[in-house]
Amino acid sequence: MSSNNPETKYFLLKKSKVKDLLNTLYKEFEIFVPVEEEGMVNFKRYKLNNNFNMEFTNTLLPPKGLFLPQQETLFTINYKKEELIEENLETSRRIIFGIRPCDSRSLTILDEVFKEKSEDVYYLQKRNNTLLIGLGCSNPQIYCFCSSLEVDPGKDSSVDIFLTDLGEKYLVTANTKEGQQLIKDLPVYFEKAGEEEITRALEIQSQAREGFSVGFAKKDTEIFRDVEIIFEHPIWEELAETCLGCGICTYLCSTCHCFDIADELAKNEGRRFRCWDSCQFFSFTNMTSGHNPRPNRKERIRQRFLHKLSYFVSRYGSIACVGCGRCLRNCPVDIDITRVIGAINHE
Amino acid sequence: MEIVAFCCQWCSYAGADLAGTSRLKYPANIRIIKIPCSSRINPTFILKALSKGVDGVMVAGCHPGDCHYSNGNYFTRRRLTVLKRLIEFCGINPERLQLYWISAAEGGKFAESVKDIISRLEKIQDKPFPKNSGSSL
Amino acid sequence: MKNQTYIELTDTLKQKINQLLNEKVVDYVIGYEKGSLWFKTRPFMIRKQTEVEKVIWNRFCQFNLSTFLKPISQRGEKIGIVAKKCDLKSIVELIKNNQVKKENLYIIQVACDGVLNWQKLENFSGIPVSKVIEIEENALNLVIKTSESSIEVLKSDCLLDKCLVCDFQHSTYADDFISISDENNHEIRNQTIPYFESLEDVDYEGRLEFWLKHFSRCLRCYACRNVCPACFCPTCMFDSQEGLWISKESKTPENYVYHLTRAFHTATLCVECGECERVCPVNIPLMKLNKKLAKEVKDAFGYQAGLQVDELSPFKTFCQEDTDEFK
Repeated sequence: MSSNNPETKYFLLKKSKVKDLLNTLYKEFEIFVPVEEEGMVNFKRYKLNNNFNMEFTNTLLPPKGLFLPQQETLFTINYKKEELIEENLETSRRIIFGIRPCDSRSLTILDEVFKEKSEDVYYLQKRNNTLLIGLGCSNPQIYCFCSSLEVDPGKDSSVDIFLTDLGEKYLVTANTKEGQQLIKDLPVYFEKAGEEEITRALEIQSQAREGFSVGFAKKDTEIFRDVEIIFEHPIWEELAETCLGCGICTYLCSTCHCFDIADELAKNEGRRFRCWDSCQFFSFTNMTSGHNPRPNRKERIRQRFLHKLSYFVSRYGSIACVGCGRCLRNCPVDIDITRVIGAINHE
Repeated sequence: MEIVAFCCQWCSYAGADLAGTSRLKYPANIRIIKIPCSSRINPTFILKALSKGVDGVMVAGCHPGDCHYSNGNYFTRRRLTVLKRLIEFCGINPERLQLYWISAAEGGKFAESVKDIISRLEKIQDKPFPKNSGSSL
Repeated sequence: MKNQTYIELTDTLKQKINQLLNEKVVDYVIGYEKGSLWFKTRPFMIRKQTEVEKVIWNRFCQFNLSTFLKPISQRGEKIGIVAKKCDLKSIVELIKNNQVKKENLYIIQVACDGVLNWQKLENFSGIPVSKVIEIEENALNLVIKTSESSIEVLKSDCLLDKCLVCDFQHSTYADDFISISDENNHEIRNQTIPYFESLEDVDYEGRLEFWLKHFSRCLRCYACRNVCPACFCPTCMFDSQEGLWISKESKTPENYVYHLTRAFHTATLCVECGECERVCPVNIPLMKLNKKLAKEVKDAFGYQAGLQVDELSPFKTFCQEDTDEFK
């Protein structure tokens, strides 16, 4: 069949066929799809014939939780038998269906962290076993600012398969070998795309790059390279006055990845787990001696911004923010990273 | 059946001691935790016990008017009245939380109270909090 | 969004703040400034007269600023605070519980006609906030305009729940009351909203299932606690370094303990401002807990939080004749 020609990159997938496709993939993969529940869209495990929602702007929770769960057991110990049982890391092959370009970019950022020097097997096992099927944004939400961070909302080449919404159907782009293979294996769902559809998709993709309400200029982030200047900037004091010190911005951030490791012991057994932690909490840096290097909200909020815009850049070369806008949408006191960057440069 | 009993050290705990030294019989389902005064009870203690799947929580203090600290137990009474409504609203049968006034001289009442809470819990149809669903902490 | 009353109120408010700072009556004023997006406002500490221009007062000033009066965020200065009628109840509780001294406060109550919730606005109009160009107000409706169309929605549908039961009267505890006229359109008020009643028809297992389902989503970001003006402990027991009362993991039974404890600890202090539920990123219906507890406290002790400064909270006192349902 012509559509199985490996050189063909563009295919079409009818929206009416998506459910059948998922039902077929379900046999082989663990699939995560955006599902609306209680007025919130989040990635949920797909069960046969489940409903899902592809008309979402973005999920409330970032997909980082599928790779770095809010809590995961590392091992358990049994005192009586004096044995240590490591968690089984084997996972079935997984698909995230409908990941947005900003979120898929956040995974590339997280990869840097979890691959550096010692490899984090817990993260990488899940990451290597997961196929990403991305979905382009045609309609960025009012808090999105991914374009300020060089994320292209209309086009994403880091995912295995990328979908562009053409109304009745999706234009399917296979970016990787795995993606091409998946399409090749299921020829009934994918037909070859014509020139006309490809042109229309390109139009839609470029339209997505317009219409952002918030953002900042790239050169405005350069000021953060010089920690000396920025560290004692009065803005941190100002932000700390209203910051509540809650963990919303860090827990909903698609690139925040700090975790805590703790042991919990019961009568005859114990376990070690890791769970999300937030630099906005007092206990995050509190030491056994009682000394806390970041005792106040000023130091803590500065840490969050400088980690993203300064420390991370000097260590990994990119800003640890993808402009998904979750912090902006959900911050109770409207602390806004785009405004902070703007204010430091222009006030 | 598992029951956690919070006993004030001045009256009820001594009452439990007396029940023991008098060789009174009462069901062995009970685990006693000594507290300085029944008003030391933070709702978290009770909620934590219930959330770990115990069948009932028994709080025992001095009789009203006899508190070692003059009036601690009056506060307990007010708080537990409201807490009972809260757990009822949140899906735990209020019978699972009982408050008893037991003096140091009432070994018999201590044994009776344990029997009382057991017989109340036996009548309950609905399940307690699922066991072992929480952390091991 | 244009509303003549609010524009006039903002001007008067600015003058007042200017005067307070000028005459050094206060060291700073806690007010609102424009947020990043048109439907957002942000708390703002006004220290200099040059900053007064940024002050706003509009239908999106939903934040309960009294949370910044908690000793944890205070530096012993004399503070001016912009407050709605509902926020004043929180201030009364803070004064009552010795968290802030009345003589260190200058309370500016501003007439409020109800606060709009942008999520409700989106839900009822079906128009995403990003598409809205202009909102006009008439007596009962909001006219939401986009570049293509305009849609009318009932104002009361888009107000915060608490506004539907508010009387919007002048509070005696305010040092200043800024208003245009004494008249408010009362026709949309005094509605009763069922908060917890529906759950009372469910059996225990159903209720437990309901709460566990909601608490399973909890991220333990502690926004509900941190935003709450009634949560004023210097160190929260859940942050205590001496003992871990709940696991660091966000497991459902642990969340159950956390949320019930939080609700119980603020019972008799909670003035039902609804901030905890509003800030919750995962929409846990926390107000059901708070409203239920408020009702139980009222039934048992005839007490309502936030009304009188000199009233004693029922958990701080007792009566020998209290009903003893534990025999």
